[in-house]
Amino acid sequence: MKPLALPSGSRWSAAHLCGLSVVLVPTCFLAVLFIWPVLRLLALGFGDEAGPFHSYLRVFTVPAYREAILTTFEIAIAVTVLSVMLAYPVAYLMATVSPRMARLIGIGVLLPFWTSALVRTTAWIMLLERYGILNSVLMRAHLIRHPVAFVYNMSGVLIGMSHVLMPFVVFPLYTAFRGLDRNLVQAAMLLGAGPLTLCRKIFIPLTAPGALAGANIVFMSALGYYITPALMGGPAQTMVSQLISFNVSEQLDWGMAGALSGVMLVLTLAAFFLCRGVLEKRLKRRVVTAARPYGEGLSGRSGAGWGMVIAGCAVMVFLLAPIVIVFPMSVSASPILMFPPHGLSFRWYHELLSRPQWAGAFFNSLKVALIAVPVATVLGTLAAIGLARMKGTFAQILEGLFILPMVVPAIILAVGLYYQLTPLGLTRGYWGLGLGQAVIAMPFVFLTVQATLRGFSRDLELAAMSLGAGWFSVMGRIVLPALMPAIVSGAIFAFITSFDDVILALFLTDVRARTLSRLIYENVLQDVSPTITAVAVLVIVLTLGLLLSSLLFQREKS
Amino acid sequence: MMDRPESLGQPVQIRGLEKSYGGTRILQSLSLDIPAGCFCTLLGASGSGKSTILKLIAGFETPDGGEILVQGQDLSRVPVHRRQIGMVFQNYALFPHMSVHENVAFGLKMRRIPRAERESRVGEALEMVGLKEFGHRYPRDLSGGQQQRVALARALVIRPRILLMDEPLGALDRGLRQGLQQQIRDIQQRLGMTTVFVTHDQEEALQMSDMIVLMRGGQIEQLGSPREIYSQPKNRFVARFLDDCNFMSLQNRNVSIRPQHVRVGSSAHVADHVMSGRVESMIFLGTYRRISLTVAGETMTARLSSENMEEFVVGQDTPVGFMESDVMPLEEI
Repeated sequence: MKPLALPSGSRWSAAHLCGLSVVLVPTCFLAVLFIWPVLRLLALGFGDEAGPFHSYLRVFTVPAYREAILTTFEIAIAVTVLSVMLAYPVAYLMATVSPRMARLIGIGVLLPFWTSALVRTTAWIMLLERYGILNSVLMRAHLIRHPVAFVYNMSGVLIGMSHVLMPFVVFPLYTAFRGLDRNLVQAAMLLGAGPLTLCRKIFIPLTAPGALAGANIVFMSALGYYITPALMGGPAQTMVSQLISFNVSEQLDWGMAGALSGVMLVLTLAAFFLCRGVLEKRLKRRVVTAARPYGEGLSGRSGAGWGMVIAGCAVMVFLLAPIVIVFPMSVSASPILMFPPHGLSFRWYHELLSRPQWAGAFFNSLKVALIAVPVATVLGTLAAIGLARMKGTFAQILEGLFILPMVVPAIILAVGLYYQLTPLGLTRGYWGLGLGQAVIAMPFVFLTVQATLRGFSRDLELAAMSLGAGWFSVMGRIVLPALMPAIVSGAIFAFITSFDDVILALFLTDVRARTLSRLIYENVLQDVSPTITAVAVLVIVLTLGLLLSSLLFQREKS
Repeated sequence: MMDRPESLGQPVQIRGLEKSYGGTRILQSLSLDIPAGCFCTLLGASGSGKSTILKLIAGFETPDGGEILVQGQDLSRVPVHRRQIGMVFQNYALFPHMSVHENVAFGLKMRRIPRAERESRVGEALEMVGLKEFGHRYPRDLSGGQQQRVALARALVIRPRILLMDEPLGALDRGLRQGLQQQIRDIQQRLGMTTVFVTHDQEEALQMSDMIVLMRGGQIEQLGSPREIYSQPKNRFVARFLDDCNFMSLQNRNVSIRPQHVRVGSSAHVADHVMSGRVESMIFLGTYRRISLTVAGETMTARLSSENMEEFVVGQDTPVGFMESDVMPLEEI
């Protein structure tokens, strides 16, 4: 009996090799522009002349550093708890109203989620500052006599960060609520569970996986936060990211920056793996699809239910307020931001257009995105397609690598790349920044394409082959078209990531090539001027346009 | 059978086919001859190796040994996309981003068939499955049964040498299945298409096939026409796989008898073999009654047609019998 070697068959048994060759380019890209610079930065942490662990020793002995690590932890935990608490009523609301209403609320949550975090922070400052909108309204209503300090302290940081991060909890929590079977709730009620028991024994345990998944993302992101505490906090709210930046740009103490990065990276990765590995695996088994989702066609609510509805509406106001408020503020005639706005004028838009630095910064942003978005899109897509053909531990390691840029705090990458690229002359102009942003945008493309590939049946490829399609036809006519919606929405995600990025832009480019986000940041650091409100409005309109076009594109395709 | 003016189908010969996955043997030296134009059903439980045979014929997997010949030609050196084999997948595998028309036209485009001919062949194929008006629709707008027919049209339009179907009706509900079974069988006979059909549903196999290949553990347990395999099972496994069955030892022979051939009560008196039994339970099932009896310490099942109005009560002693012509001798146990 002679063994057969089908040329076509060997292609399938060699799927792993084929996958490997496809993921080679994105892997090398990340190795050079992500892993290597981060490792070098970490190595610097052990490079102090006074001994390899000197810098680390200082992290834990110098009060300012110790304080900052504790503060970072405190803020991250507080923001996580706040986000989960704020997300519950919204998710409940979304799960218990009509599908059309739920979609509307969903867009209401997505709206701030997609709007530049920098713009939202700016709007919050406008709302909360000493003579800001909230204080004016409260004083006019005679509820307070003196302005309350909402911002440049802990409350400012918590409000700003929860607002930015909360949507990450709403969506997994909503999915968890949808997965809750109504029969289950009714069964519990028939067995004698009151509202409180119902909440404790049914709702919380069954929605916990969703809440945890979201909380994990919030906690990880919060640990590495930089922009919001810098803009909305005071000196007492200095976080580790700020100290890293301070050590690099003011102290030129690379050893300290390396050690602080090492500590922060260990904390972040610990949080990441703890949740992903231990908790999710244990909780995932409980996730089921409900035959009759709880809340579908719910008739009548209990008192507690109405309480949740009111809380949900309040959170929605909290989510949308900063976005809505910049519109009237941008057309105020007054040179001082006050509420209600005085007179109607477009003078700030005129000023914006008459000052070339704004238009210049805008075009710089576009030029950088023109590098970041195509690179991230192509590499992220290749990574997802290649990985789908691979199995085993090595594939899992690679998958981790492709998500990692999302997990590692941007400041670490920014500083690492700064150290790496400056000698090459790449921290002037667009290329260094564009490639750096491609690194942080790639995971978004990778994840969206990967999600679509999971739903993509391998049988489609086999069917095409049995109908006479060779490898190129299968790729070009079947795989890529099926992935197109995911690739496009991944690219839009990548664009928004690039457009919104401040941290990399602070380190990886010079004043001539500075992007719009960096210019806004530098302005807000001084003062929130009416011109900024006009910029904010334009940025919001731009991102909204993108969001809508992406939604329309997806609807058309599916 | 019908006459076949221009038979498309070609004979398939499988010789000593071997396949293992990670140390587990899926197929053990399997040989099988399928004549041209034959509707051959591979029947078996999951894990019996039936789907693997299909994948090997299509070329999605490489055999570890043995050969597959179609019209005498060894397929081993032919890549998947040049095999000219039609395949209908379990979940249809329709391209979601293409209309019905584009799905069916895909194989012809790959073969660079000129547009005019392509259009007319797509039209014919859609008409054959009764979906002529659905060309502009997308797969998601179709019901499961309609999607199944598009998949069939797509596989047939390239005029394949053989047609492979992997549990194509598994995802459909019962009523729909029966209509489609008939339709598939009609089209297959009209085209004279050699078809290899995989299912785990014995009723479907009995209804549709010219030849049933019953598989177990990567080997062929028995093959033959539906009538043969139903009424001349080789052993208990085959007998039981196709329908309920009673087993007993009769004059030192191992025999089996189908429940519908067991007579109970007054009709048993005129049977060739008469025994005494006791009624243990009775279930009314519409067209028949199922009666469980104890006969000589063994359980026996009888199916009594609803026309038989004779009353029985549980615990009652009654004669039980069957005709010698209904006895199915087993070659092995």
